[in-house]
Amino acid sequence: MGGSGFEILINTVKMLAIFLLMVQLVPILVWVERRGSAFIQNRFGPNRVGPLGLTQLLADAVKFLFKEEFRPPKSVAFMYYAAPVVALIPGALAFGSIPLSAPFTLEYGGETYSFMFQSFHLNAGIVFVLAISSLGAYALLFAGWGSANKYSLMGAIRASAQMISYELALGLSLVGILLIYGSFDFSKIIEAQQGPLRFVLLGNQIVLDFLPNWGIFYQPLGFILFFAATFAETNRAPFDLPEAEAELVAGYHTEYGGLKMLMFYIGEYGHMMVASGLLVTFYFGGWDLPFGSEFLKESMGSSFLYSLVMHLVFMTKVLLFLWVFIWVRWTLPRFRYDQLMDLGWKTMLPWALFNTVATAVIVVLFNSMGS
Amino acid sequence: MTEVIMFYVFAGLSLFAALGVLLHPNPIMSVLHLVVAMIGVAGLFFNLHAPFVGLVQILVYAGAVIILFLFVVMIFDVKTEGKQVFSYGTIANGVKILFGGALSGLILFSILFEMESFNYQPTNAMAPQFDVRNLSKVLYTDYLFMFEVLGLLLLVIPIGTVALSRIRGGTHAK
Amino acid sequence: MLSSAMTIGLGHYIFVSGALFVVGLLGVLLRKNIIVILMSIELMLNAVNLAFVTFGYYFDDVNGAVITLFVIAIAAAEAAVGLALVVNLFKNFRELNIRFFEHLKG
Repeated sequence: MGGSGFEILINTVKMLAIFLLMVQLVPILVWVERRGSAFIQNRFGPNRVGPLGLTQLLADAVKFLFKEEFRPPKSVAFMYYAAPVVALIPGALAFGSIPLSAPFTLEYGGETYSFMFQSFHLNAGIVFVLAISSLGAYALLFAGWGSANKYSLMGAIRASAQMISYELALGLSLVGILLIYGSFDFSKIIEAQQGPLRFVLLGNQIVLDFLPNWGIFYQPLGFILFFAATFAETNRAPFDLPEAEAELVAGYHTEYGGLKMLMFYIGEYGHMMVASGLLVTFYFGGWDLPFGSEFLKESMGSSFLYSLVMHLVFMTKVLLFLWVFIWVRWTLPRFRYDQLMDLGWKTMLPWALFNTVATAVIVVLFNSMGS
Repeated sequence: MTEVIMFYVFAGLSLFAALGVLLHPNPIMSVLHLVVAMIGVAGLFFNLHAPFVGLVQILVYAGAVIILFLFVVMIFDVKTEGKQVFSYGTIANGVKILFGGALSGLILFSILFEMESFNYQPTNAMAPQFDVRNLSKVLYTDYLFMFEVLGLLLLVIPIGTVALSRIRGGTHAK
Repeated sequence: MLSSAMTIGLGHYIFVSGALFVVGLLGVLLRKNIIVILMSIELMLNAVNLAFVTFGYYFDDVNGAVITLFVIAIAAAEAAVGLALVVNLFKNFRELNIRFFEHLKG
């Protein structure tokens, strides 16, 4: 990092823009979720306010802002108010460390500066995201304990037990990716996924032109495990036991309303965005466009425009995954709690271990034959 | 310069939070102070150019171990202990605090007075010696046996924990 | 002592590490709640970790960080077993004050 004022300015603008991007996606996702669930359940959903009900979001925002400020009498004030804030932080921090597009260069005062298209760049990006999102359990525990309500507490304890259990499967399913790409750095992983599918088999270089060089072709099992574990980590259906409304009223956020509730929503959708971003980064090439990216690269170079186009590609993939999250929530029934724990500890963990060992063996075999 | 400021911020944070763990009569507040202390120590690791160790510290301690503590405290609804945090009688309390203070003063002042003699500067400040690649190279060569034994330990620990804390007769037993 | 306040050296980190260790030690010696005692042990382990990484950094030796990883793993295991024991104790006696367990008679 240089000390130039221009660099500092651009980096600050970048951080703000990415944070705002994340926050602004939330109302749209809420709208998609409500309309999508209505579509799936053969109803209309919110369609009265504005075209397609799009301005429903504004009405909701006003409603959230002007609701009565309420705190249960026996609650612990510090924890009650800290919980929504803590819920927001991990998602925002983790989303900031994912590269959203190709790096770009800008010229200013005769010098060229190069910037990453992410809030901040870390060499140990994967560990950072895992570490930060593991702190998300505190928000739930704060909310559960702070609101002095037994349903809240039960929801919170369920939620954090679930998050801890699935963190193991989540982390282990990523080891395969680490073994193949040999880096903790998101940018390097995305760089390695450019171009057509190619690998060395029995000493021969094999290139499959019609497939992109994406992680899912190397790690299909890892992808399935990671995909399932992210559902549990984000506390979404079919793993939404913590807020099972039939048993626990609304789980850990039973006692919350207004802006505090909204912050929990932003935290949840932020987690979903981080999960989709990670899925796209590890298994679907990040901002890599499988066809025609060379033409774009030649015509635009590493300009800001090229980065924006690649950013659109990335966001398209992320939005597709977000739609899958919503789709799954409204079509699959909820697990029972013992089934959830069985799935995490007795099914996903052994398969993740198997995936790790199998990947290690294959990597060693292919590398030794290739050389 | 930023390193000096960061050092004082994180050192102050972790020491303040550690004192909170020691002094707070409510175990839940102790746990919360412990989280802050862990994050402060992780920040010191970052300051020492060991970001991977710091992140593992956050991942394992703040993300798993302390959540376990919080679980246990919350499930048992441990009451605030009031004046009986340290002991029952006033005299016993006084004696304990006196001797504890003497012991800690002995350790801390011996470090403080001798600090000039071992206040080294880094021999090789710019080298990224705590790079993940270097760490794993040492971990999987020099410490291979220890690593294997640790794996065995981590297999034994869950079995032991489940055996210790299971309810005889299944989940519906009284 | 004060002249060296603006250049951070090995001594400063060791002082922080020693202070954390002392606070943990006092917690183990003085506190009555078993869970808080376990937490104080974690604090002491952390202080030792800090000392390891500090020495590793200042003497350009990677072993310090590697040992720290081992300590973290073992501390996690220790906390799990310790908490399982505490859960068992609490289930049997409804009590967490260690004064209650002084005599160790069934």
